[in-house]
Amino acid sequence: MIEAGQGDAGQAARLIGMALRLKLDTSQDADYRALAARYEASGAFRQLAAEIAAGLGLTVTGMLGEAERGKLVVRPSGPESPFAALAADFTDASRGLKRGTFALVYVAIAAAFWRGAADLKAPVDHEMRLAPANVAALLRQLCDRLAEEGETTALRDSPRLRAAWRELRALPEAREEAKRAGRNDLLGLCQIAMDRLVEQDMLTTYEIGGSTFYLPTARLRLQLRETLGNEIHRTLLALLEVRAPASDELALEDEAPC
Amino acid sequence: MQLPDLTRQQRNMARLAPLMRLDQQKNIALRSVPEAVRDRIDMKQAILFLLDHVMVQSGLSLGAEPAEVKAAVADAMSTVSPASEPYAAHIADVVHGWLLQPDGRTGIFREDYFDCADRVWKFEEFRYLRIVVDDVSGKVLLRLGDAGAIIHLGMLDLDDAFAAEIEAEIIRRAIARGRFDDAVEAATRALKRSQKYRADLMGHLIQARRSLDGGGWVDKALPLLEEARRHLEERQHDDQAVILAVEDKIGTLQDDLESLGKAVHVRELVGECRRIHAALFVDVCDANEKFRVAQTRAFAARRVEDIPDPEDGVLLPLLRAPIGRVEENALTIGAAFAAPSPPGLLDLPRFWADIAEEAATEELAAEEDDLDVQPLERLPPLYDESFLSEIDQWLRERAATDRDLPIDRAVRRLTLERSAEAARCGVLLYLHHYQSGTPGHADAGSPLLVFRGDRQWRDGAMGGDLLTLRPRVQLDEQSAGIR
Repeated sequence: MIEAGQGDAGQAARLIGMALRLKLDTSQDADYRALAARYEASGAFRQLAAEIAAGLGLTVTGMLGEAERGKLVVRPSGPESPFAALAADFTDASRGLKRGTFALVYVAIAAAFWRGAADLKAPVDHEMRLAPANVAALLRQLCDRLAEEGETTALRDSPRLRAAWRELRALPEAREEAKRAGRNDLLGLCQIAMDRLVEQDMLTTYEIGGSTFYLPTARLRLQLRETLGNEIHRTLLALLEVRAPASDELALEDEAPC
Repeated sequence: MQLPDLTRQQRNMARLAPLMRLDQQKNIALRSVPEAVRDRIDMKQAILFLLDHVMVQSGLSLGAEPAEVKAAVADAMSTVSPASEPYAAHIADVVHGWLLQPDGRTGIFREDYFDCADRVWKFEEFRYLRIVVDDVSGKVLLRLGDAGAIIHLGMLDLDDAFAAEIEAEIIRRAIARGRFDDAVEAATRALKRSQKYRADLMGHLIQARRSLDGGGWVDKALPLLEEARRHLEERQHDDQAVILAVEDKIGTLQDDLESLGKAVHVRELVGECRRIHAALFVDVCDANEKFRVAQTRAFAARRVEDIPDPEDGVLLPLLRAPIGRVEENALTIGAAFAAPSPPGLLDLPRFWADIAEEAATEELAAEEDDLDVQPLERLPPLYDESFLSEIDQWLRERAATDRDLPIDRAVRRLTLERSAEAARCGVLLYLHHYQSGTPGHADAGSPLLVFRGDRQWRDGAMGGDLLTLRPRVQLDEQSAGIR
């Protein structure tokens, strides 16, 4: 029950707390339903929830579904957020393998599911399922393409300046006889990254005759739509060392949905 | 020479071809089944059972749960064929796999057929089943693909709209004459046909929406919608009439319990039909509006998206960038893919209370009158040997893959993949892993907890880093390094 006299802030914090329970949806909990309905109806309440979330290190991504049957989706506001478990994995990964490669695999998973931004925004009308091998194949294919284009560019000396695709190409192919996924080959990395996303309610698995396929959840789609316009976009700009951003690029960043 | 136009028939035959092929290849597909049983199994029939179950479930809810579908097929196959239960389950598994996995990634079948008008060979890509993820619950469900619906509907030799009217009449007459078995039969058939009608109509609408050439919609879909709306209005009218007739009859049947039960069943079945028709009516009324929106979107000049393309706009620039820069930004990219997970602070007192809970209740339940309580030399294991070794194997494999396996992640995964019991067992194994002695038995002589050695353990005893499983070898190496 929503306690009588519970202030707005208390209710907004309660809603955020419920959003943190990834599997809970409003059809299972009457309070959640009431709070979600209030969230959809009141701009001031939305603002309050967003502020409380921000204070905790969370960003409100949006509502999935509707108040009757849906859930509020929040995400960690950055790698420093106490809620960013996946980012913690990256620190682990850096020991066994350069974590940049791991990040590339995550982006490749997104690209394998949705090639263009329009696909990501369009309503789902066809089935998408991938195995880790498909993601690995996409990465290898792209690296090969870049290799063909860039054959003439001189190899720079510093390992940190080596292009990322060279780093990926240097990874060994998966060993067929290896029973479990390992961190030392591309296929194993894809497998690990996809398993991590399953833990995070970003992907879900389906078994067909002994092989496992991965399907994206609505949470991943929604979150990518948001992060591609914000965090990842900013990262790209920083990464490509845009020293003096052209005016239209600045405008793009400003227009990105908050 | 003028060719007769047999394109549609050929295309539909092409859609059947993979099913026939599976039946021909059953000696390979079912090689583990004894030949005597195998010879009397019809794979086409198994496929039809599967499609039927999916269609019925899709009519009632969002889709069919894979486990239920397989169980239904196994059930049907053990009834119609001499296959024993495990073999029937195997057949269900094979059929399910075959329908979904022709080329692994997309599940699309591809067959050639001859187009008589264009006088060329063309190919048709289709699927029998689709896998969908429910938006809210995240559950994976099966729905009928376009070819699945056509196969299922094509096997009926009656026009649906016409048949529905006949069936309503049959039910009414059967009820009036007191022939309840016939009425139940007819109502079941009517229900199934309503579901098929729904799947068929939705399939047409989706097809029409996909090919947004505009003409297809106005020429084909609009008349279809108009007809569907008229048909549904009539159906709702008929359903209501049948329900009234059945209820009248129920009033006169108070003494005859058997007939009463059947009459109530008929009313339920017809009520279900009415529900489907009502839902479909809403779908049909919405369809035009939905199409208009889709069309506007397709014909609008492709506007500049406010987000970059995942492949060309993000992945490729990242691949071109120096690996050092990618590494610097890896954490931000990782955070963008993360769902919030509550900080991994373990409330140790509660944690221990939770895993010790069952033992405590067992103690309370001990018989009080048994005074000859003997002290045990050694506590009996909480779990079966096989269960322990299964979970043990799971932990070992994960630990080998990930190098470290923090206890909170292990608990989360075990709860998700197995059960809460498995997670509890896993925690106990954590405490006894890589020690001398049998897993599951306490050994007072060896250290209980394994802490991550990177930091001072006081710092390490916070958050998700609290307990970590690592192969013994690694720990030894590390401590050697510190020394």
